[in-house]
Amino acid sequence: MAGSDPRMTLQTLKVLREMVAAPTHSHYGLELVEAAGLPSGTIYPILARLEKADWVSSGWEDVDPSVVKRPRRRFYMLTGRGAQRARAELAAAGMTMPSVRPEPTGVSLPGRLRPLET
Amino acid sequence: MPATSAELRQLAADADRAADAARDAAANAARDVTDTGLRVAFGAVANALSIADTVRDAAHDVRAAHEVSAAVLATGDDAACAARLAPLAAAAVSASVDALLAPHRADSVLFDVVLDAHAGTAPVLEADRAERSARTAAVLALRVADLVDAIAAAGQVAAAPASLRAGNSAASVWERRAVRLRVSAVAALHGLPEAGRWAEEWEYDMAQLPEGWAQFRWALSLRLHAPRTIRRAAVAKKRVPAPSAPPSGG
Repeated sequence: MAGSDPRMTLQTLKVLREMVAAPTHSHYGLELVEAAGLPSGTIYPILARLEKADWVSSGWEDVDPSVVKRPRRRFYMLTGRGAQRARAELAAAGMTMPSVRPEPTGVSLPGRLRPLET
Repeated sequence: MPATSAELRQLAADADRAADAARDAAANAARDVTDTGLRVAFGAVANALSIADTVRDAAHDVRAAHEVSAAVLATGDDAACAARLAPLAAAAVSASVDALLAPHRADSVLFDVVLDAHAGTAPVLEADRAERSARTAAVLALRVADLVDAIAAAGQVAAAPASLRAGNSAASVWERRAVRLRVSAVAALHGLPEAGRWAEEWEYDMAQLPEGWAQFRWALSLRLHAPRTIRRAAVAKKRVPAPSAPPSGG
């Protein structure tokens, strides 16, 4: 069930702008730290709030940590509702809507986060 | 990557300079905002005056129409009255429409002013925040420099294993501190079901950064802000209406 809308701050809008720029791409925390230019202490709570509000879904990278000898990466992706509301909030705030970036390749995504094949 | 107290003191000086630059940027942005705000405000005032003039002219036309009407009717010349009243009546109607539209136009102008003011304030706030961050970084760097000096004075650095003193020992020091901060951030989430998830996610993300200062900065920001905010959100999520009071005994 969709949660209530998250509190909209400038930082939240910056995160949403990066995610809207690549709506089918699965982002991870550090990538958004660098892309949005926000500190780590800000990004993760924002992602938690967006996920709670059902604007974003998250899932683990589809690898076995014992095989790859490292922790798994946590991916975040805009939900349909999230993408729609994010665009509306960005427009309402007068923030420039980014052009959609091409999908990066070479990342092993969990099935439910993988973009639909067309 | 700062390793010695001298480098840290240099970093503190750099951070102070950055803070000064941020303060100047804030001042410049504030001036721009003021200039822009004033310009927009003057524009709004000019528009409002123009609208007021229009309304006043309209009122004058209506009064004139009434006076002419009265004068013509007094002469009993109905044809001349109709001929002269027609354009005046049209002007009066037009003025009435303008008068009705005037408040909406004024609202629209004021709305634009408010939007411009908000848009202009954002860079000032950002610059202020940058200055505060830089000042904090400067203070922090000085404290860490003092700590490094104290450790050096106590001979602890000399007592460190040779493998640490050689090569990337500084990076290892910052990396160990970063790990401690990250572990502390996870510990601060104790009791939350999602603590394990954050632990794994943060471990991966931190490992992607270059070892040393970059990891330390990432972990410091994480420790300072993330657990408190995540915990607050989780507590808000769990909050339920208070149960009804138990029946009183006796």
